[in-house]
Amino acid sequence: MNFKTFSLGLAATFGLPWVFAIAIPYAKMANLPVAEFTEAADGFDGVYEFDRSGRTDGASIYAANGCVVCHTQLIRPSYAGSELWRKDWAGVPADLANGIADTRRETNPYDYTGEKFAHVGQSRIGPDLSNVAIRAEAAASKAGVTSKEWMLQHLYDPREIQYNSVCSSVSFMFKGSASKPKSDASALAAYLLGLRKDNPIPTSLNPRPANSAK
Amino acid sequence: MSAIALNTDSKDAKLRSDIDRSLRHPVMFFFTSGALWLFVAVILGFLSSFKSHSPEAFGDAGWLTTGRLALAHQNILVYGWACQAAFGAIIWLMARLCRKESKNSMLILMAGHIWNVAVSLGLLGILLGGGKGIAWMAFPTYIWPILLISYIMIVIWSVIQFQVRESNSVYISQWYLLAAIFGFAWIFGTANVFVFVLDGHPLMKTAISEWYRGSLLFLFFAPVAIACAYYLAPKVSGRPIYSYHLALFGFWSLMFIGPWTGFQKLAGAPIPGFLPYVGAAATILFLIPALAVAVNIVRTVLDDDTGSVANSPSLRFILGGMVAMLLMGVSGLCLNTAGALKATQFSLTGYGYEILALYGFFSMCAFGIIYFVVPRVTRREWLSKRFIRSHFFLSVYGVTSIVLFSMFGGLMQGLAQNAYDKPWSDAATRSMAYGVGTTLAWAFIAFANFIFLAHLLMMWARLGRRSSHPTLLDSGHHGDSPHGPEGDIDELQATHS
Repeated sequence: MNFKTFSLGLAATFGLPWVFAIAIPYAKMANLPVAEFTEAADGFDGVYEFDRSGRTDGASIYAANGCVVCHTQLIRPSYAGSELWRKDWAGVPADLANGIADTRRETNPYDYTGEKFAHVGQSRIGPDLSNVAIRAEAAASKAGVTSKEWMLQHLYDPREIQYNSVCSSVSFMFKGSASKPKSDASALAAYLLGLRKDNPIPTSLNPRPANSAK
Repeated sequence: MSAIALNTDSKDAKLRSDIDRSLRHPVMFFFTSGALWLFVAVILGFLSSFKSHSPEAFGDAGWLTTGRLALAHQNILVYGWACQAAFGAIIWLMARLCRKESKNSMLILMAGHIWNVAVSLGLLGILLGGGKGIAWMAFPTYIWPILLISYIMIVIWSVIQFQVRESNSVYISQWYLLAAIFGFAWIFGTANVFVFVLDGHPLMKTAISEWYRGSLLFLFFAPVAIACAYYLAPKVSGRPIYSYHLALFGFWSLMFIGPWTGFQKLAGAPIPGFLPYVGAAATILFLIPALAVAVNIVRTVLDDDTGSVANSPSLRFILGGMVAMLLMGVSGLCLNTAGALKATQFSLTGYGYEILALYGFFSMCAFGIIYFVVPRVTRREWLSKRFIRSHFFLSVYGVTSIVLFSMFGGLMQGLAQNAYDKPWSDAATRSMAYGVGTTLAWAFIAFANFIFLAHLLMMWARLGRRSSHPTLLDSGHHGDSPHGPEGDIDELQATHS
């Protein structure tokens, strides 16, 4: 094997994946087509936009403190995982008696709009946070506090809320108590309370039939 | 060429010792500072593992947050230890195989210092809350250009040496070294530009950061480790490599498979659908080059009947690394099937695989080359075979436990995660005991590396034995050693010349 064959071989083995697995998918994903509601499938025409409530500047605090090591932000389709069916993880199940439609759905590429990096995460030592806002609201109303107060309390001392939680306390972001957050804690809480991915989406984005079993 | 023939050819011996002397300072710098960082990384691993099951231990200070410790641990292990051990191995092996003295040792040493300053700043950045939160790219953004430039300043001379090499033949180790040298620049550059510079879709950036981890393992750390094995196996046993064609096949299959790995971490994420499948398939296929390399190395050393395999510290570590490489192939096969991936994608298992690759495979091979190179560049022999033996066994016990606990614990955890109608806390409860086990195993590894670090620092201070006989793992005192009669190495040299 001479040096020329060697370099050509390396250029080919390195170059092919670079083009087909990196450059082309990157370019394609950078220019996603606009998703649309259509009369035939959704009952009305319109352009779909993912609205995220609240601020996203807490994302960098979320990343810098390594929340990504233990928490994910991804609802996989049912062929790849079963979290779609876990209570309050993917949305709210149908409650027909009260006129509530099933909002559960898997994550789509539009769900990360406005973020610099999709913090899909390493492992699930803690629960997935794609829809943590739903669970925070439910827990807060049960405890009779606002979602923000509940979230700050959880950040300040996770074991106050779940006795056997192994979540790190970020009490260094507070001035001595859960009701006195510094700006980092407020930003982080606002970011987490903005994590909710169960809004109605065009049928073309959602392979899951409406109100399917389970 | 047998070891005996090499040692009697005095002109050749002089060239080799000149090469060793020319590289003494940079090589010792990379190995000792790498070993220091390894110790730091292991302590960080112990702390983060401890906090992952006992979150209130050691207090609530910001820099002691579990996530920050875990990210610091991963990044220091990669950039502080593994990269620097690889640099030391690359520059020394390339100089020896090209039969060229290093003329740029001062520049390499300077670049090495810059690398270390960058890693220290990166560590501070992560611990003080300025990290990026991306698995192996957690340093603050301004660090990566410094790392890339100092990397190029460290290895460019090895490429030049290859171009002006004295010997006509190209050794198998040299293919792997060249591939690793280009591989790192290409992978590191691509990943950082696509993630931090270009403006793309956030999910694709995540996908590329996972590709980066896979490719760095398979196209940088694996080739350097394999190059060490292909150098040491024939060198120590005095036998030629078993099969040239098998080596060729192993090399090209690794180069073909390596750059597609990593995407399987995003199975089920809305990225182009083929990427996770390709990533899973490539990680499974790693078994093929792993088998080719391991068979070749093991057949080479088994042909030897002088007992050098049993007694050489270097070969013992290399064989440990080869076993870990095979285990990587087998566990890659088991963990990346559709059913297993579903359960283990977001569990402790991935961490176990990484530690198996970085510590079990790469680091063991790096220890092998360090035990071989350091006596040559310092002209002093290792002080204690007991230290070497303890380092080996504690490392093996430690890494085996971590891998078993993480992989099996991860599987338990993943099965509980997928039982969607059971409470979430089941998953945490099931993996808890394995987390405690991992913490204990890190304590073993910390002890192993404390011994290694102390031993290496003594060698660095030139406190090694002034003997013409290497430190071997047998009972010692050979009547007919291939190294001639035992004596003070400096005195012997003086009487010869």
